Amino acid sequence: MSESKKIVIVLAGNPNCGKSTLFNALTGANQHVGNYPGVTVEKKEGFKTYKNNDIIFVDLPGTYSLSAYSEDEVVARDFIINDKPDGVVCVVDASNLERNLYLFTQLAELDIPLILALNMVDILETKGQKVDEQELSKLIGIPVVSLVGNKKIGIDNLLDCIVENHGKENHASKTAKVDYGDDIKNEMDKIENLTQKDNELSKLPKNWLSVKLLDNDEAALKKIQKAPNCNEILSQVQKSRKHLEVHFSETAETKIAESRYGFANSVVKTVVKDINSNKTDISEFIDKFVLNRILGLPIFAVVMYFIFKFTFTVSEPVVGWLEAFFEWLGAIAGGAIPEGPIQSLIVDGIIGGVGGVLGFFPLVLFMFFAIAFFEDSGYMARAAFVMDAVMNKFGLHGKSFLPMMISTNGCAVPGFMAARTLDSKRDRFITMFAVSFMICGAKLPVFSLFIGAFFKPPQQANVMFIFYVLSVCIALVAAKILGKTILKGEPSHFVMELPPYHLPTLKGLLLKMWERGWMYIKKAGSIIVLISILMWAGFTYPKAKENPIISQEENAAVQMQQSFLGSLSKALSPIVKPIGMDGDKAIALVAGLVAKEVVVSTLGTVYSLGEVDPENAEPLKEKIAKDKTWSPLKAITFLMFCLIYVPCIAAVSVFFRETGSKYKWLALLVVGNTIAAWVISFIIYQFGNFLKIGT
Amino acid sequence: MLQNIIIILVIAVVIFLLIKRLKKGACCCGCSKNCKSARK
Repeated sequence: MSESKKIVIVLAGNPNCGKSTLFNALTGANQHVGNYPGVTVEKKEGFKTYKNNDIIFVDLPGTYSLSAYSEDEVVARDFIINDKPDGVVCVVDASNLERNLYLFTQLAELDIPLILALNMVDILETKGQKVDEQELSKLIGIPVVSLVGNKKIGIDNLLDCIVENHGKENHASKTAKVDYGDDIKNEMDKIENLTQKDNELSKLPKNWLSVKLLDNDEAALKKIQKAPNCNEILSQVQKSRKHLEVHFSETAETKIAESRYGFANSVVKTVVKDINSNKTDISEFIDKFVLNRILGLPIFAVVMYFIFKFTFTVSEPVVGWLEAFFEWLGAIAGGAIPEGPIQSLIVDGIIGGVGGVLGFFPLVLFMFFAIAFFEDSGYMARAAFVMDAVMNKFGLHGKSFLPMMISTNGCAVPGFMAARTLDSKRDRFITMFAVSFMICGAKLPVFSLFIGAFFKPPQQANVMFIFYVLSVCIALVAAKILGKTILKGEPSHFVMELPPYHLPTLKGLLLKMWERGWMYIKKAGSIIVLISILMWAGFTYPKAKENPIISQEENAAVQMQQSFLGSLSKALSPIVKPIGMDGDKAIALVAGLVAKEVVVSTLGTVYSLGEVDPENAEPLKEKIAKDKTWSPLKAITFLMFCLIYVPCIAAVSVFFRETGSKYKWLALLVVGNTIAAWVISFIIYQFGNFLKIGT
Repeated sequence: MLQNIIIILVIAVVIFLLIKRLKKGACCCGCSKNCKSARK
């Protein structure tokens, strides 16, 4: 009977690569657990008799590298170097191959017989990929075995491989060589020339020792202490490190790690193949255009233009029907309720105010529908990716785009809160300021009202799109200014997973549209009704004496001038006159601080109060279009002010909380935005007046 | 006269509801779920 052979095999691998499961599958109940001498790190050994071979498996602690950062890593490395096992099985998680191969690059440098166990190949297959085992084996020069440890698939193949390769020199140190580049290699050679002079040091893997010394590895530095030429080696190591640092403007450690990852990355690119990639292919094909450096941004602009074109074109007739409905309702109420303050409250205050806001309900619905379509299809994640480069130029983070989109898509409040996803305080604060300039769902009716009043239907979507682009530009410029002044620093890096494209379901889109639309109705039925009533009261009281000599229309104007809000409007006039506004329009903007839709409802109330015959009312936008105190230039100036000035109270309170309840940031938002709004509106109005554009 | 009394009452109720609403927080913005989480 032939004598059985004893083989000592070490299992090494990253934490969570399935190494312990594999160890259990290989050894069954034949295990014993102890400690490595002198340290508390657990030492697991197991036995297996296979084809007349006694195999001793040693399960090393799971480590990401073989540096001297932790006790586990030192134990794992020392065991391999000092105990010289017959072979090492490097267990890698196939679904995370690149990161796992980093450890392999270090094991390869130890000049020991290696086998690569590709574990968890089933998980990789569910991702539609597989590793070309033969190609990998050829590339790194050692045997490769695929297996699924937890299902005990491929265990026998691994045991066969261990037995067959016992005694063979399967060293990966020559085949799986990391290319550190000429500069590092030259320095490694200089150090090796010195270490090879010492007997003890020459027994250690020479490549490994020189790399570790350049890596400033504590354990490696300890190893050279006993060498007679220790000082010479140390001085060479210092010189080499300094030289590399000057040359690369980076530490030697960083350059070495980069080279290792570069090696792992190139291996993964060569050996990982797609097997079931229909879905990925379509996504990849679309991404070739959508994420293209040159085409990416124009495609995004086209998508946004399409959203506005669709919204305005589809909603136009429906908005008209709703406006007609509220006119009819006003006329019915005017006829049914006897003349007096209650009739005025209902017709001018509630129907005139809230009706103006609810008239834009279809527009808001279609806008949400279009945005939800692109969100659900997976495009918006790409848009963030495409915008990353632009954002970075303005000191913003790629991730900042998402809070800005959330604000455009609905409200600045969730936009401010979405900024929490940004890691650094600087990025978060700058993003929040950028969010405050976006055209939120509440500003949309204000823009639609004036664009509807002064521009014909085919131009409306174009003008809205221009305002949208302007809002982004203003946000970016504000971010740049903040980044260069009070929030100095560099934006951090951006990592984002891109989901595969898919066709959104109609049910999902309708649900999203309704959810957001319902909120709009709720808001109109609550806070906007309340503010409309207050605005009506402010413009109606105290009552002025009626003058029988002047017309009813003139009497209405006098009444408004002498009311509470009329006096406030007079006080505001000198401030807003240089930007082409009357005091009562400024009152609408002040009321808009409660909620931006209130700008529309207040104007609705003001125009309704000025009307003599409520039964012959016309839509608000037509009243504005006919009003001689307005002009296209004044409308654009008004919208610019509305775009930039302080957000509504709800948004301001969330901003305050999200910036750590610091009054300086609150003051910057409230005062800064309002001053910026006034200055920009002033420039536009005066410039337009000078050139006689839209006057 | 009666109409004026009704108007005064309506305005008082409106002011009360408005203060209550604004004190409650940022829920008037059409994003109640987020607002609730923000208040926690």
